[in-house]
Amino acid sequence: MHKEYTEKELEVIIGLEIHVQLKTKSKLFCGCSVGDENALPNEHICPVCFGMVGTLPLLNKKAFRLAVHAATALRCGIAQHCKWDRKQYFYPDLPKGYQISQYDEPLATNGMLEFFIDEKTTKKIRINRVHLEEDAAKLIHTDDVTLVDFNRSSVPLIEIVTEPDFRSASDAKMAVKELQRIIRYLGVSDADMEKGHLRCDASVSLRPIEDEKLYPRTEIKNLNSFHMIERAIQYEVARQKNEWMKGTPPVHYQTVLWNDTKKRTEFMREKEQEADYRYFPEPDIPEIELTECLQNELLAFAEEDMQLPTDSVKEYMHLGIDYSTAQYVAGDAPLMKYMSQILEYTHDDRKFIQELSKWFAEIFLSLIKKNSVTNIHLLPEDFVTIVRAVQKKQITRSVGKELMVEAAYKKMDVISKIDECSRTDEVGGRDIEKIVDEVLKQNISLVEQYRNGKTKVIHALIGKAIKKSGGHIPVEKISQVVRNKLHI
Amino acid sequence: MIMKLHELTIVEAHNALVHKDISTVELVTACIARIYSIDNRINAFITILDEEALAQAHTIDAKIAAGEKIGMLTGIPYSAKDVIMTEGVRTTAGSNMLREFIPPFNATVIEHLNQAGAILIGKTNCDAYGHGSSTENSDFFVTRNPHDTTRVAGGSSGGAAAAVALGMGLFALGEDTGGSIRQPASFCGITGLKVSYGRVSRYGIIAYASSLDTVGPLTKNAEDCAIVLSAIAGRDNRDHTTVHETPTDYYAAIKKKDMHGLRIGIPVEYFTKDLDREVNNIVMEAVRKLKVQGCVIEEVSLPLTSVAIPTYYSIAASETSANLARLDGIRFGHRTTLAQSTEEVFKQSRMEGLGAEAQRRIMLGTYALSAGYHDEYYKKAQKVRTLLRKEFESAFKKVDVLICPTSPFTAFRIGEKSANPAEMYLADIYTTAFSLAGLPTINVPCGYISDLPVGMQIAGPYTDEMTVLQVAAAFEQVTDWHKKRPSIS
Repeated sequence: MHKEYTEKELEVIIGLEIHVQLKTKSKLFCGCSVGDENALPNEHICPVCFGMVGTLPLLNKKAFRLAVHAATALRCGIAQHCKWDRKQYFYPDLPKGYQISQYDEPLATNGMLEFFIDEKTTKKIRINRVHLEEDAAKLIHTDDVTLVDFNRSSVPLIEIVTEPDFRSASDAKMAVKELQRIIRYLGVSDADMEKGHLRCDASVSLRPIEDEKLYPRTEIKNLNSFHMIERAIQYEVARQKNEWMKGTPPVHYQTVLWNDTKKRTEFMREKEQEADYRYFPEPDIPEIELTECLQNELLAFAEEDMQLPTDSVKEYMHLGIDYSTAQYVAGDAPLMKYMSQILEYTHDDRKFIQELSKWFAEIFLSLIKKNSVTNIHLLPEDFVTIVRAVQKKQITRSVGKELMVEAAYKKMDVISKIDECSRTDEVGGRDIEKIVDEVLKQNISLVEQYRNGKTKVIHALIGKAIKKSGGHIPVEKISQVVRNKLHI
Repeated sequence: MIMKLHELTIVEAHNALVHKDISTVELVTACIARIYSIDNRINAFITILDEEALAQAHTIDAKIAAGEKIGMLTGIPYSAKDVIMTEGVRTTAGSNMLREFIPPFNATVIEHLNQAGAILIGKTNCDAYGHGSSTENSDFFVTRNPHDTTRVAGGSSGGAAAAVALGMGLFALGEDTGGSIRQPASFCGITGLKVSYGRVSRYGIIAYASSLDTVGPLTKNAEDCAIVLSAIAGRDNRDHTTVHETPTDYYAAIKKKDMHGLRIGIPVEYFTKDLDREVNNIVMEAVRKLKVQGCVIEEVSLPLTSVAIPTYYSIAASETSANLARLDGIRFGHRTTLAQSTEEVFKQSRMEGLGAEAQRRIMLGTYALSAGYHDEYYKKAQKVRTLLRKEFESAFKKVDVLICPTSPFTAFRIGEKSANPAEMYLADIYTTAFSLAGLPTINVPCGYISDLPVGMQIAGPYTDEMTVLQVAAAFEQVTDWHKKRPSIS
């Protein structure tokens, strides 16, 4: 009987294994198209990815490039040469009876992923390895038979394995989100979880605090959404905590599947040892000197001084942009370009950048959510001009806002429009008189209260006048007119 | 002029076609007639393609009549070992598992021969998946030795060798993993070339052991070997393991070599007292024939020879256990009707479809690759393999070729060794080391013992098929062993 632990004495250990489908046209070992989710079953297959006798694998160079790009972004060391291995097991979705993968010499090792958990904090977790491998086919279970669709067979994947560095479910979720953003930003993958471009398995175990060793883990398979990642890990942590607190911590490695309908994990298999895949080097693919094969690419990646979305967030915040705007923009290449053009007009004026950031968050983001940034007419300099005009009180905030919306969908000369608006204000001076007269007429009791010494009611009168004017007239002007008229 | 057309070499038949002494139809008909008249006693063929072959022959005759220039292999009838995939023509690998399997594409070598105008007349018997040295492991039947039908033709390309010896096709394509072209060529008294690993594409070959498998010709002499090799060799974009080299016309160059000063190494480990005295004498006599032509004979030592067999079987079995995993009854090949679950589909289909030897090698390989044994067997074997390769490399710094027997004995009786697999594995004792090192090696007939052929191997450095063929041709020029045909008729 083990000690019965309390919750406070236990530490949560989480590691992730993430599969990412690479954005190639053809499969990893044959010329078949990778297709998409609309393809008919077995539309994109050939003897090679169907596992027919007599076939041999052919390498896809693009897959190499994308994998190396991703691994470089994850700050991994890239292997000198690339070796492949056969991972053997029998399953109907595995046509050759083995998967061509990388075992003891992965493409890349010892990396790092940094992600924000809140405005003030980032965390870094270590990446153990990144390797290339081929995907398996898809099984479709019906009531009486199981069908196999080989479209996915041999589609290129990278497997990213983290060290067990996570201490909470939400950290794990945030890290996968960050990873998705990086992968998309680099164009390595669409990383759409719903379409299975990004799949996550989580290994969860607990240990007494200050204990150095790792205890048998539970591997949760097929976490297909961020929500599922968080929920499943939380569930598993709670389950294991309960076991530890009862004095019966897990003794075997086990695999479970998350059932999202029942909101619980379901037991798949338990093993005293992990499966024996009888790995051995793939004799059909000679070892490749990566440095030779990808020389130009590797140099380019090295010179690129790869700025990741997290780095951009930090940079934006440093300049004065608020956290959520920075997060929203970072990793979205067209939006980042737009932002950097805006910033060119600010001359690092922190106050002005803060103001721009507000406009960006409050007005501009809702515009581009409706209509992507590439379809917006409003030029970055127009954006800046409008905000500056409001700041200089040439136009009111609400006029500026309307102008921004209008200029977003229609080509126009923003500068002359601002001129026009500020002139209308003067023309509108006569209108102010009218509006204020009406307000005073309709609120005679307030006017009397003011005249009887209750001067505070002037604010109510000014407010009503502003409301009536529809915000088109600067507040200062309105209050001036109200004061003048009351004092007559 | 009376010619037995099936007895012609490729060169002779080509000349006869060029001079219009014979037609392609006559040539193909003669070879097919030969199959129909004697193969019931030999069992070399699993599938005969008489109609298809004759149709092709007519087409080629029309081209010849129209004055088209023809290549060396145009109109030449040949057979292919049944591990070589042929589009639309069933390819069984000698196994029940693939008894009805019709490939959707041609092996690269078949494509090459189609382009050269050669005519496929049938698919030949072999030990299933190349697992064997006698064709007794074929799930179809045993191929009998043309020189004595109570004896084996050798294996695993036994059908191919018997077919060539009897003129059932002027040449054959075989496949050699650990001796499967050379040993049956030796048993049947013909010439058979195992190429350097990667010299010929493996695309479309039902794999036995991927790091050892080679495709090569079996012919009546070295010249013909050179012709076929020129047609099938070369880089294939579908096989990453093929070597990058510019195409060579081996035939044009085969007789250009002066043997004077050529250094022949005699590896002492291949001539121990275990070797049959008569085989020893015949091979040494052959070496003297080359010495007379000016070759320098030198003894060399290859101490790792003794570990070649266990090394070979560790690697070959490991690889075959993976290569045959795809025969799972799911997508093609035999599927059991008895299964209640997916796991039973795998297990039962494989038990029914794979013969005893295939199962034995799969089990050996699975064991050798298992956690805990992997280092002791597979990894160690790979290390020995590297050492073997180096041992040959240093030997070839001293000599140009190595000569040794192909088999320690002549063709054995059917059933004589099949009860004892370990003894059967020793039949490969002189051939596996060259396979492990990926070297080119040819079997050349060099004598007879009690009417059974004896063959010698001439092995050269990696990718030096040229020298190997040149020495073989030089030997055949001063001897007639390669012209001796079985008396069966």
